[in-house]
Amino acid sequence: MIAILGLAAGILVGIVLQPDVPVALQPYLPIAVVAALDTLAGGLRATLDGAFNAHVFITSFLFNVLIAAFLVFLGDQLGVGAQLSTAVIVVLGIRIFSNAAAIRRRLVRS
Amino acid sequence: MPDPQEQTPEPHSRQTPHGETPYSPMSLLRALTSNPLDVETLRGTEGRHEEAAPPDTAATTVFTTIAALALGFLVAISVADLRADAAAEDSPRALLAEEVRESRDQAAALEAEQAELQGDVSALQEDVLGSTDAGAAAELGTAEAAAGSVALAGPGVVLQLDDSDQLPASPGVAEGTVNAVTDQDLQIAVNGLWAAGAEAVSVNGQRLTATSAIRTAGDAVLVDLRPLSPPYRITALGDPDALRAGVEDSVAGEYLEEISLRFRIPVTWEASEELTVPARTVTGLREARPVDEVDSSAAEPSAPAAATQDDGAAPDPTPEETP
Repeated sequence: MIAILGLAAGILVGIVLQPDVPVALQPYLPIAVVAALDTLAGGLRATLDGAFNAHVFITSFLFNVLIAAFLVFLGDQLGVGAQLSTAVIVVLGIRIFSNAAAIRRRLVRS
Repeated sequence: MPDPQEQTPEPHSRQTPHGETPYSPMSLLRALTSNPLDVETLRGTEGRHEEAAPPDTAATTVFTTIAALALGFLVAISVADLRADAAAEDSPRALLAEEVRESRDQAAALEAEQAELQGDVSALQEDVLGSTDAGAAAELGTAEAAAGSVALAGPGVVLQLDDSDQLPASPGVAEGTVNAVTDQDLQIAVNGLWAAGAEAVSVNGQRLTATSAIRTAGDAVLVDLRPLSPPYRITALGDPDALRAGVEDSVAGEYLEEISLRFRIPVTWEASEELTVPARTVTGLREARPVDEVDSSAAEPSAPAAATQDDGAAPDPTPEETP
């Protein structure tokens, strides 16, 4: 619960403050958003499975975002940033789909 | 829609059908290709790990809260920033349109200023010449009227040409054809009016002078490089009856009759006692110089001549129709 409240509070602060994102961080924003979506879908699935754990949810959120950003950063350094971004988006997209499929199955079955 | 996985739910095992553990490098790819939308085996083992997670302590709660705050903040600003970026992508067109509008306003303002200054200059000229040399003032007035640098008012005619309506199908004509007025039609009409003794002519508010050009670019008729749209109203100052009779008795009149009959171009005449033609918006000062200074092509005609296709109109003090 505290995780959800914290997330909501963070989103509110972000919307209210509207800070300018440094240009250096710009390439990582789409990846971060997709990773966040993936984690949210995973969290929803875990909730439906009755296995939701706020700590795990937040740490996996953090790690997904960081790893995705790191992969893009690595790609940028290697000169394949665009391709690696695509790869990360594809993998995260598949995960979002699989989580959504699991959620749908659970909801329809029960 | 039932899918095969639902009928035979596999127990969560640590081995994939290929005998790999979930941690084998290829297992994720295999799972994705064999069952692209469900990496259940992998998630299942994860789930067990999650259940085995230690209960919350104060430290994990604090960490969780801080991380949640940071992540929420991050996602919010990311989304806000990306949305701003996406909106900015449409902007080059908007920026260009804005620039065009600004330039137009600027041009209109400059034109107004130019007209105002021209008025000032004329007034001052009149002041000076009126008190010193009345003959020169009269001469200047005549020259200005002829050169189109002052607006003129008086009786005259308005000859209006318009594109035809959509024509019904007939031999050689597809249904819905619209016959448009061409630059040549306008040239002939204008030349006819000059020949009939018009003192000043304007087309849709564009004053015609000795150096005016009526041309075409695409579908638009340009007068002095300004695109005009139909109907084309040619305002000519002079004796209304004489102008109309002069045009109708000439080759230009025959031509107008021909296009109105054959191509259904509406040609209408209006006579009026009070018409105005504006001054020419931009008047570059050109002068004749002796031959040894410049070549003779820089010489300019001194009187309004026939509006011809070329800007460098040949001197033609007695305008004639160009067929």
